This record gives sequence, structure tokens and C-alpha cells, in this order.
Amino acid sequence: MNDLLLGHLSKWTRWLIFFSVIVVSPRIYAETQDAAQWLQRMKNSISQLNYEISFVVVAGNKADPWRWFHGVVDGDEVEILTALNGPGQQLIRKNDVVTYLQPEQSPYSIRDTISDGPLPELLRADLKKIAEAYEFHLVGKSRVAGLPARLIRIIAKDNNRFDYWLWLHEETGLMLKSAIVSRDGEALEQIQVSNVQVTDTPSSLLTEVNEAELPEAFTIKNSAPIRSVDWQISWVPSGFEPVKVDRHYLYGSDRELVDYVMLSDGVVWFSIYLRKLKSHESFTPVSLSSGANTYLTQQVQQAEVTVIGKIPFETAERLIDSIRWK
Amino acid sequence: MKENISAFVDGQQDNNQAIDKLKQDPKLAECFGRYHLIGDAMRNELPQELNFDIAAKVAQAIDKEPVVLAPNAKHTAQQAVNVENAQSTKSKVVSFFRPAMQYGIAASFAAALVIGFQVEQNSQQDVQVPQPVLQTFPVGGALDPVSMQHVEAYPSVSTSDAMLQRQRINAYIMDHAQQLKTRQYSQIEDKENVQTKGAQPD
Repeated sequence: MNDLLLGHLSKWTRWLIFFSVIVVSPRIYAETQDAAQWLQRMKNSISQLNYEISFVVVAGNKADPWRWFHGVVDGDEVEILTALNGPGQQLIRKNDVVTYLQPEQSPYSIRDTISDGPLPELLRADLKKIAEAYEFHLVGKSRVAGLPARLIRIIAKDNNRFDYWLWLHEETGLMLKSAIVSRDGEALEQIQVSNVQVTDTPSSLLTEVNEAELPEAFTIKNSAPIRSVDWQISWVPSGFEPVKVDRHYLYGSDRELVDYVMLSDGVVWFSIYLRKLKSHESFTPVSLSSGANTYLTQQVQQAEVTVIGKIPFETAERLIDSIRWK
Repeated sequence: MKENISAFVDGQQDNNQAIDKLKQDPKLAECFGRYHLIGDAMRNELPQELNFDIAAKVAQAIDKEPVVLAPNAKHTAQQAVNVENAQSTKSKVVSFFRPAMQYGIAASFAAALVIGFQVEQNSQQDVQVPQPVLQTFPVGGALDPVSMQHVEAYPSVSTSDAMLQRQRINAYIMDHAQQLKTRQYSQIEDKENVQTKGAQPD
């Protein structure tokens, strides 16, 4: 009798597993597919539509309001991002040329680059690249900035990077809200859109900028790569590769020579600096954080190693621990 | 009380008590001003120039900051312990608000700007150091030195080298900002330069 019961139970269990496989897994698959489609839709919308968006970047105890104009003018993609607080910085992008304007600084343009502005790089990142390190989940519907929105969670497959949450406008797929979220579920940085206007024709401001004469664009080449470094990083988070390697004088200095490596997985970019210490030199290890940014300096033998970027503290620490001399 | 002010600013509350308290408490008055400013910003009614007077505030804060002449032995001693403890405490990285440190960084940040960014090539170095093509500045809203906060696992900088170290922190942060502005889509072709032994799956 007992055996019979157990037999039945295990049969039921088997059925249950069978059903879960049949019913649940396609659902998860569909959910991921849907989420990926939404992300693709967002990517298309932000690069093809004419819009004006106001948003606030909230990081730590700071809140910075921005205005974002985007449009396609005579086949050219033109984008303006203006900081509304402070002295008034602007970022203008025309196709692959980014121009940075700041008061009391001469403006400059850089060709073939990824703009370094208030928006997360994720918005324009290659979906395939994102899919390598993150899973997509279509979570549900909500209301953001007064508009119906879909929440998509972009969850890191490992603990070495932060998660992203995106709220996309149901109708257009444009971003209404975004958050960089730690593994503990804490929102480290958020962007909240307050107003979206999608228009048939690009704003007159964009037409003006398109005709305006902007500084001639620099083309950045990877500057003098180091031929022989005597150190190596034996652990990097999976998917990250060096995108820039050189030796240069630290910003604003003509004495502090640093070995420099920039690592990226196509979604996140961060810096590693190694500065050789003089025999008598020592310093205090420093760890700072600002929003999703981590700043960590530690001594590794006779060198000062600094990691800066939007990666978890633990990742930065593990990376520094893995530095070895040849 | 702040909720009352908020409601009052929004015109949702017409409360004499709130007004009386506002008049008496300078902190609340400041709060009132700030809420109005936020309201203006949201309604896009900000004036051309906003007088936050950050510079004066930074200067004030620096004046108030005690001058540390001797290295803080307590901190240095703790540091070793802290670093050891870091292993166990690192899972909870708590943003730890330290105004003194922040203003300190702000001040040295300004100083660094005044000194200028003339980068010269040192002929005695036998390494090839490229001249920076251009000097970039961080875009607001991105990482900037003033916004950095201390992580608890590490002590604040309080030795006599603090000033130098703060300047260096600024330099690193500015350099990182510059590197972000000059990054490219393409990967470097010559990957033999740095031997990152591939990714180890976790």
C-alpha cells in the first residue's frame, strides 16, 4: 500500500516536472523574447523618433535636471542634452560626432565615440552584447511620468555588475525611467522622466544646431600602447575586455606617470590605474562611492592601484587582489 | 513639519501655524526656499542665473575644518584592522556621509583647476608618453569629486599627506572622466599588451 502511494506520488511528481517543463519554460522563454523585443523597440525609437524629453538624474544625494532633444534632420541623427542646473553644460551629438560645450571652456568634438553624458550607455548598447552578461525580464505594467509603461529588468548573470531596470513607454518604447540597482535591490542611480513630447518634425533647435558650425572633430587613436608591462590582471569579470591600454601622465600632472587599462563589456566601462610608488612613499587606501560609481585605491606591493567606474565595490576589490607581477 | 511646508508651497495648505513656524526657524525657512526652487525647476521657471553660492559655502566649510598637523595615529592604527575587517564587512558597502571630506575634495579640486593643466613631456623618461590631444572636463551629473562619499570599510584620509592624496583622487577622477570621453566603439587590436587571462566563469 505504502509502495503504491509512493509510486503514485512519484508519478505525480514526474507529471508535475513534465508540466513545468511544458508550460513554464516556454513562458520564461517568451518573457525573455518579449523583453528583448521591447529593448529593440526602445533602441529603434530613441534613434529614429523626434522627441523632447525632460528628466532628472538622481544619484546619491544629488538630483540633476536635464533636457534632451533628439531628431532626424535631413537624414542626420541630431541630439542635444542640456544640464538645467549649474553653469549650463551641453552635449551635442550629430551621428557619430559628439561635441561637449561648457562655459568658459573652448568646445571640442570627438569622432566615433560613445557620448559620456547623463544617459546610461545601456540605451545604445548592442543587444547581443547585453545578452551575453545579462538576462532580460518583462516584469509588468505600471504608470510612469503619467504614461502607461512596461518594466523590463536587465539582471546581471553574475555578481560582478549592477542590474538595470528600465520603464518603457507602451506606445513609443521610449525610456520613461531607469535605475541602476545593486544586488541588494538598492537603486544607486535613477533617471526619472517628467515630460515626453514626440513630434512629427524635429525641433527647430535641432535644425539650427545641424546647420551650426561646430568644432572640428578629433579622432582619438589608442595612444601609445604599452609594449611591455610588468604586471597583469589575472581576474577580470567575465565578458570584460581591455578597450584601451596606455601609459600616460595623470590628468593635470606632469610627474605622475600611470599605466592605464580601460575594461568594458559593451555596457559598462571602467578604469584601472597603476602607479609605481617610490621606495619611501606610502598612502592610505581610499574607498569612495557616488551613485553607482566606485572609487577604490589600494597598495599592491610597491604600486598604487586605483579602480574607478560603475561596478560593485566587491568587483573592484577582487580585481585589485588579482594583480600580479610577471 | 516639512510635509506641512511642502503642502504650503504647493498651495494645498493655508495654515497660519506653518507660517509662524517658518518665520521663527531659519532651517525651515531655508527648506521653504528650496521647495520653491524645486517647484520652479519643475515648472521650468528658473531664472537665467541661480545664486547657489557654492563657492562661498565651500570656503566657509574649509574655514570650519580643523587643521590636522600631526598624522592621526588612531586612524592609522585602525586602518590595518579595518583593512583586515574589510573582508567581512565589504558585503555591506554603506555610503557614509562625510561633509568635511567632501568639501576638502571640492577645495583641492578647485586648486587643481587654478594650477592648470599644462602637460609637459619629461625628456628624461625613456617611456613614450603621448601628449593628451585635448583636456576634457566631467559633465555634470556624471562622476565628480565633490559627490564622492566614503565607504565605511576604509578610514577617511586624515594624515598630513591628506591634501596631496585628495589632489590625487581628483586627478584620478578627472582622468577617468577624460578617458570616458575619449573611448571608442572599436576594441584595441593589439591585445597582447595586457595579459588578462580571459574571464573565469563564476
